[in-house]
Amino acid sequence: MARLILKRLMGAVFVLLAVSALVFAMGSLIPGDLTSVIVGQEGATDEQFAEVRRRLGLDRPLPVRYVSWLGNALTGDFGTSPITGRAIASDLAQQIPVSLELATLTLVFSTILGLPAGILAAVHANRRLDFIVRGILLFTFSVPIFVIGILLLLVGSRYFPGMFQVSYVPWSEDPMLHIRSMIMPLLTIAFPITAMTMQMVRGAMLEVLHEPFITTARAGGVRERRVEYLHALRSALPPIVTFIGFQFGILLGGLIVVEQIFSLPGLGRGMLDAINTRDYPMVTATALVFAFAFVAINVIVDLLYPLLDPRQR
Amino acid sequence: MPSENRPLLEVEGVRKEFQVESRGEKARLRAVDGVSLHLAHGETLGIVGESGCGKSTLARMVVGLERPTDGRILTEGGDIWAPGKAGRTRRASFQMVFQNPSGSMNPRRSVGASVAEPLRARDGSKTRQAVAAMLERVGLNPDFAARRPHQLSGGQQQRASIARALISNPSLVVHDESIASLDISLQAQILNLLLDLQQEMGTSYLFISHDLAAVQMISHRIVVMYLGEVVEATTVEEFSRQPLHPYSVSLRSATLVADPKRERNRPHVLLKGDVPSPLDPPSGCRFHTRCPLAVDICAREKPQLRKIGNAHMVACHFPERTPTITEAVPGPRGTGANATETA
Amino acid sequence: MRRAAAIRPETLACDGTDQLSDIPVLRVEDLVTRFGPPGKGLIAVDHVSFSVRRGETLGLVGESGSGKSATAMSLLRLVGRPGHIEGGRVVLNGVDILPLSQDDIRKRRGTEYGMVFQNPMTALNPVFSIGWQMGEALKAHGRSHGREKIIENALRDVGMPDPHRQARSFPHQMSGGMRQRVVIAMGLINEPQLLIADEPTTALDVTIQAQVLELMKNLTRDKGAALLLITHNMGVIARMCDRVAVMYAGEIVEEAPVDEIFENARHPYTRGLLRSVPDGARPREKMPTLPGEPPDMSQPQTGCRFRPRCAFADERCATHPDLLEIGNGHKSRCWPAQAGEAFDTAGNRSETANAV
Repeated sequence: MARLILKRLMGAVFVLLAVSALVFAMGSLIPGDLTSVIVGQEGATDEQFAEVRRRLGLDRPLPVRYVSWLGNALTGDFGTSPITGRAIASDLAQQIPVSLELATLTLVFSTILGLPAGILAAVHANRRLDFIVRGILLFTFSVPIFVIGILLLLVGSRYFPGMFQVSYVPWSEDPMLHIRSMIMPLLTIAFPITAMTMQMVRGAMLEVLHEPFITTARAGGVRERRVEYLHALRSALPPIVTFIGFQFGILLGGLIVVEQIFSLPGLGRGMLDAINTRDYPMVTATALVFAFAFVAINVIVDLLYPLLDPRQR
Repeated sequence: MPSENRPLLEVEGVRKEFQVESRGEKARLRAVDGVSLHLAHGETLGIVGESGCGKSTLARMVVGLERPTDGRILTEGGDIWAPGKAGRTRRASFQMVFQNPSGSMNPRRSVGASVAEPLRARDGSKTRQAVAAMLERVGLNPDFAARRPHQLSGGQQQRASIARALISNPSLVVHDESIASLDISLQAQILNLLLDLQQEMGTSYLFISHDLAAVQMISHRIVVMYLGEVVEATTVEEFSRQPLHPYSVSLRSATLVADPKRERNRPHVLLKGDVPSPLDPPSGCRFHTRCPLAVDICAREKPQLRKIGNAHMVACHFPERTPTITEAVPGPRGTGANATETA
Repeated sequence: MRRAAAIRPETLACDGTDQLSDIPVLRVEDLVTRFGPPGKGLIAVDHVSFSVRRGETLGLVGESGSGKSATAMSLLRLVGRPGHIEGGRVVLNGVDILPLSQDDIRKRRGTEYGMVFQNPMTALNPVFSIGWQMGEALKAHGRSHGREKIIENALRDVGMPDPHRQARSFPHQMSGGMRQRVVIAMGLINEPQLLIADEPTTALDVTIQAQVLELMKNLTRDKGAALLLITHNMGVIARMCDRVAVMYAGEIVEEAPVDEIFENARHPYTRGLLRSVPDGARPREKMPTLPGEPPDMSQPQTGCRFRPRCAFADERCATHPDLLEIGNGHKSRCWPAQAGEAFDTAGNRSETANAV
């Protein structure tokens, strides 16, 4: 077991290194580098360009720049944004909790709703309850997020003005207002994710329910409820947990639209702003955070798997 | 130099190892361990054994789907892994029929297209004629060429696979459990068909199966494998008269006879336990852990495959005691339904 | 004896009473199971009737698609959708179980009849220990007292070494033969008087098959349980059964004591099936076989269903024959057999001529 953990962690470190190199190289190689952003396109002399490049360290060869960037990044120092003038690390430190909170809430919501819905749909496969559950959830899934979001925004602010807080308020300022400001983004993103979870759980459950060992349990006289909710669900759990894990990874980076609609100062919105302003150091750092989140989730799921499936031990 | 006088197929000391992972540790699995055999033109060699004995790996090596870790496979004296065109041609001269007919045919292509696959030159009308003739020969309506595999029944699909294997007129067709997934009445039909086709076309068969009765029905000679090794090789007549390896005897005893009176009266040899893991084969004679006749030396020394009488090879220290095995049945060992360790 | 101790006292008492031993453990009457909507779809089990007496082994033999597995699932009322039982009676220990409520039938599963499935690799849940799974079968019937001991004894009965440790292991840690022993132990753990085994050894190697068959024979004998053995393997039938029912295209076409079936089969299908078993004693001789393949069951059937493959068919066979008694305990669904005609000479010639 210890060996497995070590193996997985080493793999994760390797992947992160590779991703960071790739992200860094891409940030450095795309045309129109930082200098032109800072100096401005017109009226700048070559000397000014060279001066800025020297100041930013851009005159050094790429691998050297990467190593020094990586060294700083490992200590949590991503440098200063040439656009905002703020430390990138402190920006990220503010954005990460927002995205993390929304992603976690979404996941909790979608799992609490999607898991039972999926089980119910599978147990009643191709009967009325199945059609109703799938119908409702797939309807929400088929409407684009921005449509739901804007609809919620319109309806919410018009008919329930007291219930929702439209602009973001941090928890530290006012916990009640904070919760109210998170409800609408949560509702917007949670339904499609719930639909995905439901569909996935239904599929996994259906597959297991057709396994011969389920018939073995039934033929032994085990109660139908117990067969469905204990025997079958427990066997379907490994792929379900994997799926939910990856959903989390996707959610962290996939909140761009929601964060944009509801002006949440999260990672997705930060990334979008950085791209718009060609704030490459910021883009690179944010991308690295996404990669880290994915790899971390991957490792966690990998390590969870043997607990869920004895065959993997 | 290839010549007509050399046997069609010679397998010389072939070994195949696979790297496998078992409980997180890398291990070497010897699927086939030093197997030698030969096959003449027009002959059928049956290979029988249970799961894990290496018979399928051997089949895959003979048709060139796997490369031996060690040893040589020759056809008419030429190595099938000779570099360049010579080797490629030799590898292409053998065909194979698999267990699962539906899995071995492309579901999106017509049966005719699948059957025509081994033909090199795909000259339109000539190919169509050849396919139609071949389908007819295996007992299928030539119109089936236009159908998809799923429109055929299991037996028809297997007939089509046989047509595909034979259309390029190969010198050898390897059957890897080719009748195992068919119903009994269809198995009999296919076995009869194979006998007929062999007479007409002179094809050699390497017939690999777990079903001893089917192997005995179709083969001239028979090879019994256990845990990657040949334990006995002889003619079918000699084998049905008296198998000389205790494992062969047990296998024959376990193959049930469709006759309740004979079944009630004939002696049964019940082997202890399961086939040991090929990852960790027993010392000495690999069968000694289950052998009712095993004595000390069997655990220590590996018996060599040696000739007994005319054309009878057996790898056992005491082949002369083998016939007594059935008498040993009522004893405490023979009744060993209580199995030993699990795998 | 360990085995005797495992039998509960009340089971012994039941066996002792005379009136019960006259009632067959299982009597099936005109069972019809259809896959698909009523009136359409495919009739997998078509008016099947048979009975299994106490302590007897009845073989249900047939090829794939003959309806033998659908029959087994119907007996347990575990036919999966879109299949459903359309009619008939399944009388288990004197009670017709088809009208029973779901919970009533559930209580009978495992206690009145146990089931052994074909593939031991998939018949056990991979994420639970085998002890846990066996415990589930006990718990389902309210037997929680001394559960661990019962499980260990059941595992010891099927020849598992070190049952205490084995109860904690998972299916993937065992070989196929060992898993099938576990499945048998589970099928018998609530001491049913009938064990239904659907191709119990088909997925096993022959030397392991021999062990498992021997085990089933001994266990059912020691526990006084009847065995309904479903198989396509004539050798298994010959070794294990007292009586045999042969299924073809959803129907039973012949039923007789085992020796009678093998010596004097009175349905051309049975005869063809028996001849199709390769005999090691006659190397490289062509076998007389059954020509053709079974009918497509999704199409409506008229007349005798075996007629297109039969060497003895004549104009009578255009009418669907019933399964009738033609001798002592011997039933056949064949017009010539019912008329007492012999299946030889002329027949033999054409039977052989049918060889492909």
